[in-house]
Amino acid sequence: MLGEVDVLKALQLLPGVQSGGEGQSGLYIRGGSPDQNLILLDGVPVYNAAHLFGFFSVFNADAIRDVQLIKGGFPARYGGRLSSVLEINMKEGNNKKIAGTASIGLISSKLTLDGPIDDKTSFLISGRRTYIDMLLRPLIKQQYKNDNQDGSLGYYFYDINAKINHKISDKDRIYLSSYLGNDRFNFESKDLRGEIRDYIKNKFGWGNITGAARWNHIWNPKLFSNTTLTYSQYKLNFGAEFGSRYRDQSTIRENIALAYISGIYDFGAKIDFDYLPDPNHFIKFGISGIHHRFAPGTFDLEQNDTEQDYRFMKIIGQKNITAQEYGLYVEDDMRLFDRLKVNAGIHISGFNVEKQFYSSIQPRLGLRYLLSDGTAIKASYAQMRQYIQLLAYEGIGLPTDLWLPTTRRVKPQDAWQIALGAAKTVFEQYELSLEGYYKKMTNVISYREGEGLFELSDWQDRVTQGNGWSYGTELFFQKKKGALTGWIGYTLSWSSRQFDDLNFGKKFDFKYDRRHDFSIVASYQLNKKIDFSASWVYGTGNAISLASSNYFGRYGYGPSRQLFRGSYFTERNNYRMRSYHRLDFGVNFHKEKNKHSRTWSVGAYNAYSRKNPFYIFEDSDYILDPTTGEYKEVLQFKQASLFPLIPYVTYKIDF
Amino acid sequence: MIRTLSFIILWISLFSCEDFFSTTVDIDIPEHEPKLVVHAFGNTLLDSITVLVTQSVKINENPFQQKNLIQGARITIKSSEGQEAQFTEIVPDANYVDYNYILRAPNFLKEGVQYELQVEKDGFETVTATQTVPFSTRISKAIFIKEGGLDNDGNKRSAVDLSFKDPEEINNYYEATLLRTSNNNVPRYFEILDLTSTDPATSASFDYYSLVISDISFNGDQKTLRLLTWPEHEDNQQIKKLLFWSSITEDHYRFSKLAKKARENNDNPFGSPVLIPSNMSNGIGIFALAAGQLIPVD
Repeated sequence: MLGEVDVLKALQLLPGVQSGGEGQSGLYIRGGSPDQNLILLDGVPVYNAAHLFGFFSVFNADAIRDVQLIKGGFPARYGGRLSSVLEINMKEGNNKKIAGTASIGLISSKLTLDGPIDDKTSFLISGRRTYIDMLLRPLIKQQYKNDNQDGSLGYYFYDINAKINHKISDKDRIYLSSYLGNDRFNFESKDLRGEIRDYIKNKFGWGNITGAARWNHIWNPKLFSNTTLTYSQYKLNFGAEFGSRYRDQSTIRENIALAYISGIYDFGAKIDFDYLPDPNHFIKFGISGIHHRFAPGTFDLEQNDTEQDYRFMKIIGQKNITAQEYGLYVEDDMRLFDRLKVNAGIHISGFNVEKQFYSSIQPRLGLRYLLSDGTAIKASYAQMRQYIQLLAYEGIGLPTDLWLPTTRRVKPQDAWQIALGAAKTVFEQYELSLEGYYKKMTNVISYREGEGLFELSDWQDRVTQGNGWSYGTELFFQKKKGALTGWIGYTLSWSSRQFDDLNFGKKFDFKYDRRHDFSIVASYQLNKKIDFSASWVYGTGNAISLASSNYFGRYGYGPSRQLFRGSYFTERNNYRMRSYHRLDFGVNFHKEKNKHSRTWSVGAYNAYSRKNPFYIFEDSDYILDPTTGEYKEVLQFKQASLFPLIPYVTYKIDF
Repeated sequence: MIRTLSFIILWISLFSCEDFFSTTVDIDIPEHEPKLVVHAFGNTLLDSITVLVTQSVKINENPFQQKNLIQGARITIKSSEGQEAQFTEIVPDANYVDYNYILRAPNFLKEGVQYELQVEKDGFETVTATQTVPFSTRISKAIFIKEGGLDNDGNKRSAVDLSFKDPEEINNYYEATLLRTSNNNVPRYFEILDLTSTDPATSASFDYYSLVISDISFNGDQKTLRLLTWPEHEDNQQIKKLLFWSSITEDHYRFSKLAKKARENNDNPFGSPVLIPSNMSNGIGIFALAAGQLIPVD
């Protein structure tokens, strides 16, 4: 998007993986919500994978070595989420020479450097920042000046990835890796004229910090271990301040300030062993522990009025919750017969919160049987448990969505999934696979009817828990070799939810229930200097709730009767928005220079400017009724779309 | 080649952006079969039960414009003790319609008695609803505090301190409205005073002036509630404050909270929709009966 290579958006082109909506980088995998994906960056959980309200992911492609997505049939070594595991590993640094990549795009620039520090140590550092705020700053300043004001308005995000890889001996290696990313929005203005001058300041920021220190040790040729210490934090803060000053600007006349902070902070430790007793067995086992601290949100209100000699300070908030999460697993990837491979294991987890201990035993089984014609038959069964969840609005994923734990009142989420499929390689360059799945989820969480985030009541009073079901079939056809490569993916699926407190207790379609999801991706290398790529996606429209009728009603008896306009919903998510489809294309022009290579990339997002639905809203218009001569209000439903055709151009140097 | 491609892309993008962000779409409006909409509220303290009967309209019609009042409906209320009464249709004030049927029957409603409301109208399915009047809860203390402390926004407030013993074993729901009047009886002329509270058991009622209260956090306990109101400045001895305290049904409580949420979420395109509960069979609306008390708090 806009010339940015985005890992999560690329994954959305695979069958069984859906985006939430226009431009969103959240992953909805096999009917699960984004918080049910375990996203690991160098083994550390990342809680918010999105910049700019979800339009970009936090993963800088220049710093990434590999990405692995597991949608079902999880090996026992993974735990803590219901729907998928997305494992992203950063590059380890070039140990031979200093190398790098620099690129300039429409919205951001990136620089990545890696290379040896000495013969045993290498490093990688990569940074990215958007700069639309810097480009627009003079224009915004001038606009304020025209209005006799001073002020600023801006948004930017940045992220930094860093990694050091040190070889201690032939048997020991250590890795230090870290990620730091932030989004910042600010709006500020103040009057420049008058005896009393009003001002307003707003700041809104959110971001992740992750860190990992890993020690890799070879005990003997059959036994290896990785011991890892991890830290992960996601923090959101919002500040608003408004008031007035006297002309000299030094004295505040009146000031009201509100601050809001929420977040999640994790310290973790784990040790994983790989044991290869013989060629037919690959055994993995390990143990892990995470200390979580959840800050569900605190409002800090301060008010000063020098004229009234009034000062008020109050902190209203929800208490922090700490919890400890434990994991223990053993799995064996074994070859039982020539044609049969089995991955069997067990994951045991525990969660200690508010003097309550939850535990779970989760069996995992994966089978792969090779038929004589080369077709592989795959089957899997997995049970999963999730102790922490994202409390999110149904509308869109926002940075204000809260990570919250299982508590005494809020029970852990559970799921089981079975999958059956077949895969076959044809003529060495084509791969075809077909897989069906069924997933049942219990204790999934949602806001109660009409509840939201910015309320002062206990969040546990505002949520409800229910069940979820998801099933479907995924078809994947890929061409891997030749000048033309790419794939076609198709998913036919159903996903639904049921909560006693929502939709009058009846089952309803999940918002992201998507009956058909289709993608075609192609890349063509014309020659060494020019290559083309294009993708086209199609998806059934998202489910939304649309009233079936309006009515005029009344509330109350006696002293305080009130009239109102009500809307009658037959059920939740009863209406489908328009289908979503979009064509993206790009062309890369490569050139080798003496000491570097450069690439110009041009292309377009949404090439035929499809007006894809983002949301539907009600609007009213007044039309003259010729029979009565009076204006009559007519309600209309309008669709808001986000992105028309957006061209991009980027310039990149590899050295 | 780059220059040509860039020019084409720029041209297409500029051309295609026109009127993109505000597009009226034709959507298939869900099938609509008009239903009777009945809002009936009664309180043992009042001498009448009033009912507003309208009909639902399509979602692209504004019901406030035509009101869609139903005329000629037959409304009957029957008690589990065998009493039966018919409502009378009235012609409401064209400028302010808040009911179009009334039953003037003092003492008709009794605590602990179940009532069935039936609304019949040709061309519609007969609508029925059943409610039991809750038992009232005795207020052991209700005093007015001039310096009531600060509310959640830091405003200085006066307060009404209430104490009562919440009945055990059943879930109880209450509604509190503060009135200012010169009449000590059931007030005909009054001003409604805004009530708020920092107590988590309370929440603003649909009308915003009153509070609705659930005993889920104090079921069966002795409860003291501080209800905050704007501070009084005048010393007029003729002005009295009365607390209109009602025991309400769970249906009433849920309707009040969710109808309020629905109104608040109405203009938020990202807000979850709120399904307003209805206890009317074959129709839409609410039948709510309450046991009320009028308590002087000066």
